[in-house]
Amino acid sequence: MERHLDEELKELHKEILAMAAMAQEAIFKSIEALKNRDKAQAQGTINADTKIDELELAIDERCIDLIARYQPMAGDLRFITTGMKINAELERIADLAVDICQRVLELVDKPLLKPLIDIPKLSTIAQNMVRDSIDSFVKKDLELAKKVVLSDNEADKLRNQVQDELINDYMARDVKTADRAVPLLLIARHLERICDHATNIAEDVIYMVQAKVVKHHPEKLEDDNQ
Amino acid sequence: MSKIVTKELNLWYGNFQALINVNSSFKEKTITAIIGPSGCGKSTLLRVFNRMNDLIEGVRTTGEVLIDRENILAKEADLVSLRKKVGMVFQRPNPFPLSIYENIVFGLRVHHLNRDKLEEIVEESLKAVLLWDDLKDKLTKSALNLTLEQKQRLCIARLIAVRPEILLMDEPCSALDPQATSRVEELMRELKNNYTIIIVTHNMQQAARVSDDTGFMLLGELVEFGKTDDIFTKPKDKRTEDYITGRFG
Repeated sequence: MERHLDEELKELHKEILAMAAMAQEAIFKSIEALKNRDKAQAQGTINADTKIDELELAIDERCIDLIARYQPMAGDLRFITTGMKINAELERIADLAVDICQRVLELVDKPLLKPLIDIPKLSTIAQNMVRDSIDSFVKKDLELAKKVVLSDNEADKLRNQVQDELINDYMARDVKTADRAVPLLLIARHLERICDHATNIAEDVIYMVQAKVVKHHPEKLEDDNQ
Repeated sequence: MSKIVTKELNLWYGNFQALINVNSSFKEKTITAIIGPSGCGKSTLLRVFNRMNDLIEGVRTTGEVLIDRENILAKEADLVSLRKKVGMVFQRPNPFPLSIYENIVFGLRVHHLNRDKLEEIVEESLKAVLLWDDLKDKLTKSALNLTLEQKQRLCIARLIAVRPEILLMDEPCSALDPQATSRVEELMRELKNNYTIIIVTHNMQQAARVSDDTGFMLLGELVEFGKTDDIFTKPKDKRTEDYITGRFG
């Protein structure tokens, strides 16, 4: 039996996907701006964040409205509350893309400290994790969501590698490199945080589909894999 | 600790089987809600607990219903003491056409209980349902002139007067407006400290708000029984999910 609530939930689903597309585009453009040292693209991405903020508020309002009017339960309730959480994660992801663009603006007029190797790798991991977390939401795909959660370690490892290299090989040897090394350090940190938010989305998807809380309990994820 | 346990409980009205193999356990001093579509057997199950169904012709039951570990379906069960122990509140409040005072002491007179303490018990019972302050000066007035909510509270006070242990409530708020419903729900939470309460309700939000455990019934079967938090957020059975999300039908 099709309910009126189903129509409303479809609309919510569409809006979350639109939000996800905008957040993914923001990450992509921030990394392109870094690679191409493109001031205009960095500034354009910063300016576009207002639209993402507006959509975040609209989605939140829709969720609160649905809870107030329909008093949803069980799967409906889990979908709406997960939708609200994913919405907040996506907004934070877009903010981190803005943070990257601000670092790009700090770097763009200075000579390149070193060829970018690990940061683009980290950005690829971050983009893949965000894409997969959203795909797992769309397809209610538990396996994909678990894969995202488990791949967060790789991002942490790469971030540490970038950090060690910038501190030990550059800043410790020549303090004058700090004004170019610190923005790169921060970019690695922003990318790693994006991976954390993608992990949160995947954990929320697991709750939505399976009603199982794996957040802060990674061992529960492993139980399932046995 | 379980106050009521049903084992392989079946009930027939003539050829129609209204309860099918119901196994359940109702905890002491908790509120348990029974939900399900009309005709699913939830009121029948409730009425088994004080053997109200015995009044209906052609009723046959098998299995066991243990209250404090005694099978109330046994031939030797004492119905008078059972109904003193297990009181029932109905959809529409049904005060007797007597004074407020006489309504409350009615059960005590029938059971020949505490005749020297009637006034004390009237006060205690009305205080328990938060009516004492409003009615203490009107005890001789007819109970029929009270508001619906007051009548329902009075009916609960009438039960409490005979010191039951279990309160069965069959849609106790269906005739009440939202404010009165909310106040009766508050009262139920208060009463839970001293009584085991089982409520049958069509109002899912009410079940979610007020109960500790919930059972979902469908076509005479107890499909799912568990903590209310779990039933309303992560039911295990698809039929429960479909019912509580309004997909059923």
